[in-house]
Amino acid sequence: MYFLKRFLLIVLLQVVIFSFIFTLFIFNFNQRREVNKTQSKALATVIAEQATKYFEISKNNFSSKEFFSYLDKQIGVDKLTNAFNLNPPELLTIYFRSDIEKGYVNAGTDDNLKKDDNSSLNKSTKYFFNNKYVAIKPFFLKNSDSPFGVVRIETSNIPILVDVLSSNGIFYLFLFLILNNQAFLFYLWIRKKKDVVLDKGYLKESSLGSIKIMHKLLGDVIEDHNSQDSSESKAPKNNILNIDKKK
Amino acid sequence: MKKFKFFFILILFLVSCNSLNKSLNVQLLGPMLESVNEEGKLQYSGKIVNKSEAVVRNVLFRFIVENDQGSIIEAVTIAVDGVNGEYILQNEVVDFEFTLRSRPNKIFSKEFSIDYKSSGEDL
Repeated sequence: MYFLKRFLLIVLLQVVIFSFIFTLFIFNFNQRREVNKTQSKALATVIAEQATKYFEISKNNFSSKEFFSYLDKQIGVDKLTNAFNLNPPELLTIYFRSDIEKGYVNAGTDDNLKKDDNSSLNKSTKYFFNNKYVAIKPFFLKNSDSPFGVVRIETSNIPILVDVLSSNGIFYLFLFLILNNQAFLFYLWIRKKKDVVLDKGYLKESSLGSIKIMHKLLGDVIEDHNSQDSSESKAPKNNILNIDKKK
Repeated sequence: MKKFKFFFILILFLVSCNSLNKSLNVQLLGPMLESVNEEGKLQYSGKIVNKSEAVVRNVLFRFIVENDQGSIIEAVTIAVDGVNGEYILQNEVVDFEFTLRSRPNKIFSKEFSIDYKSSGEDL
C-alpha cells in the first residue's frame, strides 16, 4: 500500500508536468496558427483585388484558369506564396457566384458568400484538431453590390505542428527534466526528518547485542596485549567504555 | 550506466526531432490551382520541385477526394516526369495537370501526397 501510494503520487506528478508542457506547446502552436491565418487572409485579399481587376477587363469570361495565368504574369503565384515560408497554401481556387448559386460547386460559403465556419468543407479534423485553415474573400466588380465570386485558399496546419514540435522539442525535454528536478528538491525540502529519541534507545536489540560482543572481544584483545607488555599496563583501559555499567 | 542511458535517450530524442523537421525533398512549388472547366469539372494544375540533393525517379502525385460521409469517391494517381524522362533533376520544376471525373458539389475533402524514389545519384 505504501509503495502503491508513492507510485500513484509519482504518476500524478508526471501527469501534472506533462500537462504543463502540453499547455505550453498548444500555446506556441496557436500563436503560429494565428500568424498563418493572418497571412492567408492577406493573401486572399491581394488575390481578390487582382480578380476584380482581371474580371472587369475581361467581362463574361468565367475562366479561373485564365485568371491564374494572368495572376502568374502580373505578380507570380510563387512570389505571392513565398511569404508563407513554412507552410504555403496548398490550394488556391476561384469560384464564381453563378456556379455557387446553381449548386455546381461547394465553396464553403453562406448565402452572402462569406465564409461559413460550420461548413464541413472548411474543416478537416484529424489527430483531434482541425488541421486545415480556409480563408475566403469575396471579390466584387464595379457598380455591383453582390460579389462576382470568391477567392478560396486552403492551408494545412500540420507543418506548423511539426515545426513547433521540432524547434521546441529540446526545450520541452529540458523543461521536463528541470521540473522533475524541482519537484525532487521540493520533496527534499518538505520531507519530515525522523526525530532521534535517545531515552527510548535508537538501536535494535540485536544490534546492541552485537556491539556488546564486539566490545567484549576488543576489551579481551587489548587486555591480552597489556599483560604481555607490563611496562604499559596501567594506562590503556581508559578508552574502553563499559556500556554494561549503564544498565 | 545511468549516464549512458540518459544520453542515449537524449540522442534518440534529438534524432527524432531532426527527422520531424526534415523538409520534403520533392514538394509542391506554390499552391495547386483549382479551376472549373467548361464541362463543370474540377481541374487542377500545379508545379512540383525537386529540392533534394539527388535525382529522383518515379514521382507519383496522388490525389484523393472524399464525399461528406468521408468515403473516398475518387483517387487520381499521375506520374510526374521531368524534361529528360521519368526522373527529375535537382531543383527542376515540373508542371502537372489533371481533371477529376466527380461532380464538384459532391466533393467535400481533398488530400494529396507525393511519392518518389531517390536514385541516390548526385549531379
